[in-house]
Formats: sequence, C-alpha cells, structure tokens
Amino acid sequence: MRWNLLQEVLHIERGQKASAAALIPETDAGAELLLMEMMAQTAGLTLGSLQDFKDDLVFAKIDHAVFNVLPAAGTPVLIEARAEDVRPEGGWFLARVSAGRQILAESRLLLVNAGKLNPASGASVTFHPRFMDHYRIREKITGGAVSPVL
Amino acid sequence: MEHEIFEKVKETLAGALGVDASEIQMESSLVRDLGAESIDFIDILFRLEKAFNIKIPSGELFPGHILNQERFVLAGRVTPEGLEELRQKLPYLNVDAFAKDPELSKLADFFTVHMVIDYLKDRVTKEANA
Repeated sequence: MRWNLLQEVLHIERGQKASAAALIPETDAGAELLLMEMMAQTAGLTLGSLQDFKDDLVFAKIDHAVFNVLPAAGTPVLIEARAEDVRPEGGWFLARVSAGRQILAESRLLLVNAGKLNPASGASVTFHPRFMDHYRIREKITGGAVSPVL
Repeated sequence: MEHEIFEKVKETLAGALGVDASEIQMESSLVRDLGAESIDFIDILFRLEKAFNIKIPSGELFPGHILNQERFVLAGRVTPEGLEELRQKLPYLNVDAFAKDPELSKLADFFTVHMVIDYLKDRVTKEANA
C-alpha cells in the first residue's frame, strides 16, 4: 500500500477500528477505485496496529462494496474501518467513506498479514518509518495490547 | 456427523474459494484442486470458526510458521526433523504422503478437505464433551 490518499490519520483503536480524513484527489482513476483504496488503507491501519506495524499487509478480498454517491474532486471525506473478525494473521473489516452525513461508500474487505515482504531489511514495507513519522501514527493509537503473529 | 461436517465445509470452501460446492470432494486438495492461495487460508479459518462456532488457534489447522527454523528445511526440502515437527503439530496432515517428496513448496498440496474434516470432527467432539 501507498498511503498518499489519506491526508490525516485521526485515530486508531488498536486492532479494533481506525479513522482517517482525506480529500478526493483530481485523478483519472475512477472514484470507486479511490474510495475502495481509502477504505483498505484505513482498515490496514487497524490490522497493522495489532502487530505494532512490524509486518506487511495484503489487501486480499472484497466481499462486497456499495457506492452510493461518487464524490467530485476536492470533496473532504471521513474514512472509518472497524474490525469485524480479526486475528494477527489477518481480518475482515467493515469500512465506509462519508462526506458530512452522507455515506458515499461501504464495503466488507479482507486484509492479510503477509509477513515481511523484504526479509533482508527486517522492516515493514507497508509501514515504512517515514510513513509512521509523517502521519504520527503512534500518537494516534489508543487501547489494547499488541498480538504477535505466531 | 461426518456427513454434516462435510456439507458445512463444502459450503464454507465454496464461499471462500468461489468454487461450486459440487466440485469439492473429500480428497480434494485445497490448493491443487480448488485453487486456494495463501491469502485464502485465513479467510477459510474465519469462515470455519463462524460455521462451527469454534476458535481455531493459529497453526493448529494450517501450519503457518511451524517450519521457520533452519533445521526443519534444507535446500527447499523439509528435513526428517521437520517432518517429525509436522507430525507433532499437525496430526491431521498426511505427513507420510508428503514425506515421499518433501519439497516445502508442495506442502500446501496436502491440505485436503479430508484433513479439515478430521480436524473439525475432533474439535466438535471435544467441544461436545467439555
């Protein structure tokens, strides 16, 4: 994952839920794709927090996705993801994107812990230190204990 | 009981792997015959937990990181010590069949529907007796 769709990570409740703010960018990509990626990234923060952002994640499956309204470029949105069923190896998440009171999109998606994509470096590619610093991720976390992958 | 479990497992696998339930046989390999990939195993675990109302601890049904020590794998092949580890940790896996050509990359071929059902039969019996 690359994280440049999110403008600000608002809050992460370890392993339970996360929220982020974004502006819909000006791009040729379809709005559905952008909304889906935003939801996956926010769900990824939730799963990442469970293993202290040490491993890499894969956006594995979409069970369903509903797009109610396709927003115009520049629309500020709130993205929320909540773990429906989660363990350190992966989890199913319910996610939604809203603009004000209007729900733009909702989905149920599966993210999987992929271990280390670059074992030689020992660091997570997904949660690169620069990403962690830029979004001040650790300051946004509340609750719960880290669950290492067995 | 086995038939009931088999029917539920078929439904579970059909949902997770997007295959027709009628294609799923007891001896089907999840990977070779039903097209499962590594990302599907976690989905299968979640679905089995829900279908059977049980918790499946990490590594109890599918091996996960069991073979992550050097002494268990040499040049891509599982060592005798590694095979013993598999026998201990995964009693439902047909290790004897895998041991004929123990290439690590082929291990997942031996995750069969039968293996899943044997595991669930034990778990359901234990839950009932608890």
